[in-house]
Amino acid sequence: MTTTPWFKMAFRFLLREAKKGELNLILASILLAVASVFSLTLFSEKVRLALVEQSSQFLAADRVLSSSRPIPDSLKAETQFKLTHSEQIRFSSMIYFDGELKLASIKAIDDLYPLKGDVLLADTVFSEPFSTRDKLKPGEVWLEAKLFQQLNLSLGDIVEIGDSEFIASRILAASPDKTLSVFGQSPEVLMHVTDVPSTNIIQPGSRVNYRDYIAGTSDELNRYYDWLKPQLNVDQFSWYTVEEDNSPVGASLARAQRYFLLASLLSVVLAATAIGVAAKRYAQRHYDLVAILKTFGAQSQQIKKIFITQASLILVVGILAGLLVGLIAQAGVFYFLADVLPNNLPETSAKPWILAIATGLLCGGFFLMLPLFRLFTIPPLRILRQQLSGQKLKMFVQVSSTALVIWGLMWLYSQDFKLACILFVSSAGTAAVLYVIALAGLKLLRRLSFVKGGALKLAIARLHQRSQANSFALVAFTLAIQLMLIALLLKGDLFEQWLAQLKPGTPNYFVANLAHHQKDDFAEQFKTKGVELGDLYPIYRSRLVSVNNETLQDKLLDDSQQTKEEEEQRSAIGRELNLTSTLILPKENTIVEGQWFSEDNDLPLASIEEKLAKRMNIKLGDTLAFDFSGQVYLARVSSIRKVNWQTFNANFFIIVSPQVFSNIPTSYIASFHLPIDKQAELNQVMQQYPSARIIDVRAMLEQVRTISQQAALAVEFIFYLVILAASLVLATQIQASLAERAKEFHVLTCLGAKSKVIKRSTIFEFALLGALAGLFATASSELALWALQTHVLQMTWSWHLAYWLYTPIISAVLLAILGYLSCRGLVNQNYHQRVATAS
Amino acid sequence: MTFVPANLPVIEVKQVAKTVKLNDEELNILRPASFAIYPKETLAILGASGSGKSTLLSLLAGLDLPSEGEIYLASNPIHKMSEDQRAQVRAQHIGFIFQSFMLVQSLTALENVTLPMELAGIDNATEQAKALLDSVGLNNRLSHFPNQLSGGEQQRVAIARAFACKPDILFADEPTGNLDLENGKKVQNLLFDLNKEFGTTLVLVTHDLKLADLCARKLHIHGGVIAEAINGDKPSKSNRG
Repeated sequence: MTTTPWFKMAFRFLLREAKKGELNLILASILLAVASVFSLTLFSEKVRLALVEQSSQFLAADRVLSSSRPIPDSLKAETQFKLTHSEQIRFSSMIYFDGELKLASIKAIDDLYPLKGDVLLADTVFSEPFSTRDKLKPGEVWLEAKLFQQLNLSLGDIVEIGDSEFIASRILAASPDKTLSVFGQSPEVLMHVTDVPSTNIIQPGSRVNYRDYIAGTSDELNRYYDWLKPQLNVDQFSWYTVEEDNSPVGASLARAQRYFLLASLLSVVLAATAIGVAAKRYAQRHYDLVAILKTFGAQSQQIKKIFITQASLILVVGILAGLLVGLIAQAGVFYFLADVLPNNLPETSAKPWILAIATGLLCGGFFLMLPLFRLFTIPPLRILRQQLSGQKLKMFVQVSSTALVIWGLMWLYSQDFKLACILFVSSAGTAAVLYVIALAGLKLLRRLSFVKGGALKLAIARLHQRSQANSFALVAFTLAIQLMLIALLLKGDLFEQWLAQLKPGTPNYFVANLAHHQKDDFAEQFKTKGVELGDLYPIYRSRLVSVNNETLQDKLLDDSQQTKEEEEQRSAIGRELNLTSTLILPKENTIVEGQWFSEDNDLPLASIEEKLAKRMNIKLGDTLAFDFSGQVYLARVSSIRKVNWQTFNANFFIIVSPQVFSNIPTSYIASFHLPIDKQAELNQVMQQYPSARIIDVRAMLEQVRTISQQAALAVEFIFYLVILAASLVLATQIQASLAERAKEFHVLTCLGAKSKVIKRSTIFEFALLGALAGLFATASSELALWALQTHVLQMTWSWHLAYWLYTPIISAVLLAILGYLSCRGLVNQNYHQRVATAS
Repeated sequence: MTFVPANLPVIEVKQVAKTVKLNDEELNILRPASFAIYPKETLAILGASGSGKSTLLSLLAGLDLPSEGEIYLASNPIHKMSEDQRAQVRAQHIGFIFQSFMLVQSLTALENVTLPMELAGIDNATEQAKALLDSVGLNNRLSHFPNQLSGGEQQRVAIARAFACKPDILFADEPTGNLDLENGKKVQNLLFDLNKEFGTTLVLVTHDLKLADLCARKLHIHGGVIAEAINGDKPSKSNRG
């Protein structure tokens, strides 16, 4: 006796099922899980690499190590790591020419500078900048246009810096790593690093910043950082990466990445749910087959082999198809969006492949195999007693293993233990709460005995009769709709905030150091040229010396753990601070405590930025003392403000009421948007104001715009994937209930129900489920959004009132349509067909 | 394979009873009974719905285990065998026909008949299956799926499948229960003709007295009590084992 290969049998069953379309949903679920993970990681990895590459140009390197003391060569470990290092020294110094002295920010660079990005030069003071690959030679300096104006310099003139002389050889338009500071930062001068000693400027106690610019592959950079980190004294060294960059670019990038991550997680969890539901149905469909096989003498080993082979074949086909679809999807996206995306997209690592296959195996493997355990225990006796449906796995085992796999997926995908835990606990909690509410809600519906009309009553009865299954479906619908909503709302909010940052007419220049007597004339001149000058803010460079008569030294000394931002705030306080005085609350500023200055107020008041207030422990009603030009001015804190630092506006830590400095003449700052065709006119105007300083932020704006556009594309793509995954969950859920419905419809017909009543009751049933799910989803997504936006994405949160109305209605209509379409076959059957389907 | 000599019972039932627990209460589905079935015998199990006919069938075929007593099927003590061991015994000795046909919906008529032979690892299964389908008059329906066949045709496929492994015993559970008169008659004739041709022992569960009359022996079940009617007489309690 030879044993027929079980493989042949498994393959035959599978092929027949595939032909009949029975495997469509389960295959689609696996395919979607794999394809979404694959295309998302591939796409986001490529875009991320491109974004990082572009953003590194802002840093002029991939990483920067900075210190106030020279960085020892031993920390570079050049033989150990394949990285490129470029040395830089920054300090301030006076620059002297023809009897004139001006303060300049000197950046001493080496031949490798910049490791990323380009240095922009200009032929004349206001001409269009162009990028250069030319290297700065020792003995030469490149100076910002402003210095040429202020010192009345010409190209080739000799300037003095410290004890050395240099040829002013080029006009510097922009350097990639220029700090964007609109307040009184001195114009920049590039000098060769080998020239620094001869200037004799750096003396013990000088304020000098030493920087090591580093470039290399991300793996090598990470390896280097792991090696370097333990050796770094945090008080002495700072480590900068693009992702940690607090600039608008860095923030956009970080937000987009978090969205990628969250949305991808959502689509994976949705796809996993779809696989779970489809797999359960797949197993249920085979209960009779297993009973028949066992009755005819099949051994349990044979049955296990047959079904494990089938499941494995489904899994392999699903994963392969998923990889193929994912590859095509991302290739398509790149093909159609070639214009917007960067040209040379870097090659990605094996990570997307590994992640996608691992997701398919973990997700598909587990959810496909779990229902098989029950299938294997189907007794042969089922052939005579249809109600026998095998042994369920213990609830504890089912729940804990499912939880572990979902958490594992979240962790695998986010590679962030904390985020995986938070997401898992919150979604599991939501699901549990929703389940209880759904059960109670369906019970309550049943009590609506006053409902007349056959179809609606039938629908309610049916919902109640299968209240457990329906509650589960309700939770699944709710979660699917909720995730769609979150993705949609987040996308909208993200875009809105990006657009607000980049709307047409966003200031692309700042003018600073405008004298009091010049400001009105200056504004007028701009007006006649058709350029709108933004609000003019007076700048009082003053020092905050005490809070409630307590000197600030005492407040600052005991801080040891500070973030970079705090460090900046402290340094802002420690040194001179740029205060302004206005009665109009600047844009992107919101009062969080107290009240903004009123028109009729005659007291000296101050408004302070909330983080600074918190750090300095300054409260409403505290009296601040400022030292301005050697004189002390007092102001009482009357409000605390939240400031959006990521806008291209002039932002202030402290704003005082006009009474504080009582209109003491000072310099002014303003931002404005200058269309490209008016550059020459700007040149004309500026020549009349030699002391005023122009700060050009066009390059930076352009960068943020490009990055935001690319990130927006990725976000859009991910959003559609989430929708697809959610729809699949809905479809599998409805599909799963079809067998039971077939029997019910049969009984109803036998009892004389007209097909119109059956149709209507089906529509009502799904519409009710949809409305409930829509309502629950809106409530829970509002809650989730609040948490996400305020705690994860650092965005501002607001109610989405319209969604409370639209979502339940839309989901009721959609589900009614989807439900009706899925059941249409059954509803429209005649008696004989019903008998056949139900048996 | 265990061979069953003609003088030894093919099924021997000793004091077999079945009880189930329902809400902490013991429910006697079958009261203790003993009897034996010999090779080539035809036996009908008769009784009203819920009398315990199907339970008895499931015990005799090793689909379920008795609460007490012993059952020997082709000398195998199936009352103390594992599910897999019983499956093996079924594969070697038993064929089945069910009221609701129980064909595998995703397989054709030919594949349905081949299935038990493939499970048992029998060579040239397809040829044998074709011959069987020919003998039930379905040689033109080989590649049809169950849902493309009428009820009568489906039951004929099921009969062909039941004889596929040349079983010693054939269990038929209400084989004509789902069929109209004409088709029922056809199936009935086919069943008995093939039974005679293959020399199979037939155990038939039915509430159709006319069908039962075609069998040599009859077991009546009433409220879980099994009694045997001899030569068409009134049943006497079956505890001769």
